[in-house]
Amino acid sequence: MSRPIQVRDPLHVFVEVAAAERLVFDCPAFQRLRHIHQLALCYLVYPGATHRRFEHSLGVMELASRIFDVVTDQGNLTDQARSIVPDDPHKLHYWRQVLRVAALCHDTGHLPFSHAAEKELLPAGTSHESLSEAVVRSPQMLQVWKEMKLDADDIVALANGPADETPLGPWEAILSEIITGNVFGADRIDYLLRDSLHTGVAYGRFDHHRLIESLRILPPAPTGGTDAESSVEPTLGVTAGGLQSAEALVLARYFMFSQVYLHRVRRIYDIHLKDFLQAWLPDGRFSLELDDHLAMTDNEVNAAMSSAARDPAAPGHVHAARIAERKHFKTLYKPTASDVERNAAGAKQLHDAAVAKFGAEEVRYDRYSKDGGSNVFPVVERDDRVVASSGASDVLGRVPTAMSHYVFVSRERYTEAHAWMTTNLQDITAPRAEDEDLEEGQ
Amino acid sequence: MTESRRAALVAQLVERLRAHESWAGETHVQKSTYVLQQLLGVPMGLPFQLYKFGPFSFELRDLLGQMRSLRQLEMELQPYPYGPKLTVGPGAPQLQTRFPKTIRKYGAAVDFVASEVGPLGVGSLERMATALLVQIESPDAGAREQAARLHAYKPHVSVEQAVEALGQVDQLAGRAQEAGVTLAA
Repeated sequence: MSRPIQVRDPLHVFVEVAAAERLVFDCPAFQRLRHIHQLALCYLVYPGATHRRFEHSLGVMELASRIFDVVTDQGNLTDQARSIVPDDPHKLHYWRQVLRVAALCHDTGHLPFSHAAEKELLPAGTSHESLSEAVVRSPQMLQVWKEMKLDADDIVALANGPADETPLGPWEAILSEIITGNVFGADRIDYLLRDSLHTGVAYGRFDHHRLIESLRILPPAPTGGTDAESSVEPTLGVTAGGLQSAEALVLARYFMFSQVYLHRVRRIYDIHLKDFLQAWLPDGRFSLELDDHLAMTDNEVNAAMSSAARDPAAPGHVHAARIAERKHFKTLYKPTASDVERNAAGAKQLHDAAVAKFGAEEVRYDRYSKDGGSNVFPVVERDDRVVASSGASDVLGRVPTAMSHYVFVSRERYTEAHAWMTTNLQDITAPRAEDEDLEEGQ
Repeated sequence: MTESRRAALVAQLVERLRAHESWAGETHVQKSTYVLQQLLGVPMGLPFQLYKFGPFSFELRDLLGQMRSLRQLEMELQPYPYGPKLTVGPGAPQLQTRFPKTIRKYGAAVDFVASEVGPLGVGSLERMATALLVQIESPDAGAREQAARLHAYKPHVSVEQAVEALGQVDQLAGRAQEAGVTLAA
């Protein structure tokens, strides 16, 4: 058997990989993550953002283990939490190991350049989680799980979390939340800190040591009303002493979305990349065959893009050249808050009108908001009362939702398009009744 | 159904929930929408799966986030120690302008759900929505078998509570039929 190793990491200093875990660490599906950029083409905007899913996955394993150790510590368990946490040390050890390998594997299904345009580039109804599951259930990995005495179903359930449609019991749901949770998941904590470090955008930093030490398994926050009965299904929350570090995480996320993930130039590069891939890939989509998936990394796409940028006859040449020569589309319109209040569909109406005027190849539309978790989680006070974070914090309920909302136009048509827009904006973006197909099934 | 039309119905639902004095937190909107779609047949096309507090739609969660960013919905903070309520924002009225037929067609169903489901607490909502999910998953199973399944999914819900929740769903379906708001079997 291989020996344990300690991997140096810029965030966590050392990440220890146990001897048995080397079977996962050394497998091609995990090593492939060395060649998948964490933030797609974001390095064209933030040159330092060249980090990969490989080190992020190691970081998630490290943080998930730390969270596990804190929330299952006997001194940190409420009576209710004690009812779901296994009291058999062997079972607890088993689940800790499942959690660690699930954290390692949770991103193995990522397409080249990570999230960029996953919806458009995979068959309908599939996602990178489908591919992660295929990796975990591959013959090679099943042999690994056999040697480690782990159940592949458990690994899939924790790695994919809610994306796996098999209902999770309360304990498995907590473990999955430790990796993929919307507020305190190790995935989120690691990517915010790591992306902040590599982009040089310091707003993404927060005191994750304090945060992790304050995490607890708690009943949900109370609601009021005539029937104020709450569920007792447990979830992750924090002690009152950890509230400020949780606030800092939520703010960090808002700033990272505003500054980095939804940066206008990053968004248009993602669109150009999607356009290139749709032109270059057979049938415009990535294959779901496992061997094809493992053989396809950012390296293959970059080589194809570089070649296509030089060859006008190559599929996707125009899009590849825009990326290679930094001739990305420019922002024609970004609605203000009052524009959106007047008509949230105004930007789309402007896009449609611009397409009619200048042609579909000259205009792109982008609207994306970060997922809608509301940052409400339970907080346990010093007298053991459990309260809602939004009531206990003056900050959490007021953090806005970051959004990307743009109409882009080619730089060759920008001046003309801008003049046209300035003349016609009010008319084009006025609210109007939309087509409503109310046939059966609508 | 397009995302914008879904948003129009969700805004309508939140407005009706508040009118019927529901707490109107995110769980209320999730479970009310599940009943609207799965029991009354309003074709919102949202995928739901069993998760925390019963059936849950991640697409709906993202839609709520998007609606907040478009100021179609807002979070209304509540006094300590309670969680927030949702309320319609200044961007909501435009949805009625854009989708009048949709709101007219499904408005009665939305109001029925808001009045029947909205006033429940999160614990009751969890039991009732999970009971509906179990009935959909195993329509031919007897009540005891369905109750056992619900208990297996949510061990903190006793079998007796599960039986009661299954009965509540049957009664709700009956009242929906009487009110003429059921669009599909």
